[in-house]
Amino acid sequence: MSAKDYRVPEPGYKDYIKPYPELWWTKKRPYLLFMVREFTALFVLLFAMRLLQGLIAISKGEAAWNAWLAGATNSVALAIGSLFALFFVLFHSITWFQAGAVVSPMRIGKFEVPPSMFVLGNMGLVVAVAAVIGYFSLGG
Amino acid sequence: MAAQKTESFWWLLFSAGGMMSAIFLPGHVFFQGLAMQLGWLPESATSYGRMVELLSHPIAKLYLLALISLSLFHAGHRLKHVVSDLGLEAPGLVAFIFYGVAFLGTGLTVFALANIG
Repeated sequence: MSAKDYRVPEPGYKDYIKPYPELWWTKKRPYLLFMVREFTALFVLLFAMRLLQGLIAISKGEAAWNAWLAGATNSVALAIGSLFALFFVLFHSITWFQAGAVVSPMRIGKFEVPPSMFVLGNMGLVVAVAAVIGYFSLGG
Repeated sequence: MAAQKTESFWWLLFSAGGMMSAIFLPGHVFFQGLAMQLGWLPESATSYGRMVELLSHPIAKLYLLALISLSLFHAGHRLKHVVSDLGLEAPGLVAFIFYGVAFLGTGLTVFALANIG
């Protein structure tokens, strides 16, 4: 895109949108990282649906649950999917806390918690929560 | 634009779901996803009886409802914006589909949880 593609909106022409390249998010690294961050939502959506699918199977009774469980265990294809989901969900967690550190900076007394420490602390919480989930998942 | 009047409402759900999924989802993806699919969970832990027992607790039901429903609204809202960021223009239809999925998923979660235990 060159300078001649920009034009000054005329008075009264409120809906003028500056043209931008179709693949704008591939042009700069921060743009790309932004798009990856937004794209994490696809995996949040898919995994929430996966949890719901399991719940529905349980609600239908023992046979339905056992069938769902048989499909879910020892599945290499699903495990690969979960590996991707884990990457993107963790990416979501990290970027979410990064944004949180900017939106509402944390203070302890007079000490201003730096964003990196805020993110690290929250990721520690994620690990602790995962340990609790693991406790129940492995038989409590 | 009419859509902007309701934006704060959707944003609230987006934000709540973003926080909920950021804290709780990785653990579930690891255990109910990867670990289960690789056969790392003991059979006794995933038996029907135990699942019903765990999910009969009101706190477990409330937790799963919040986790699933808010995650769906979070993801729907974000993906709605992804679609327009990619230059595809059909805001009304896209919003209808994503929020529709979130509402439908919430309804199904309530229904499933009500039928357990």
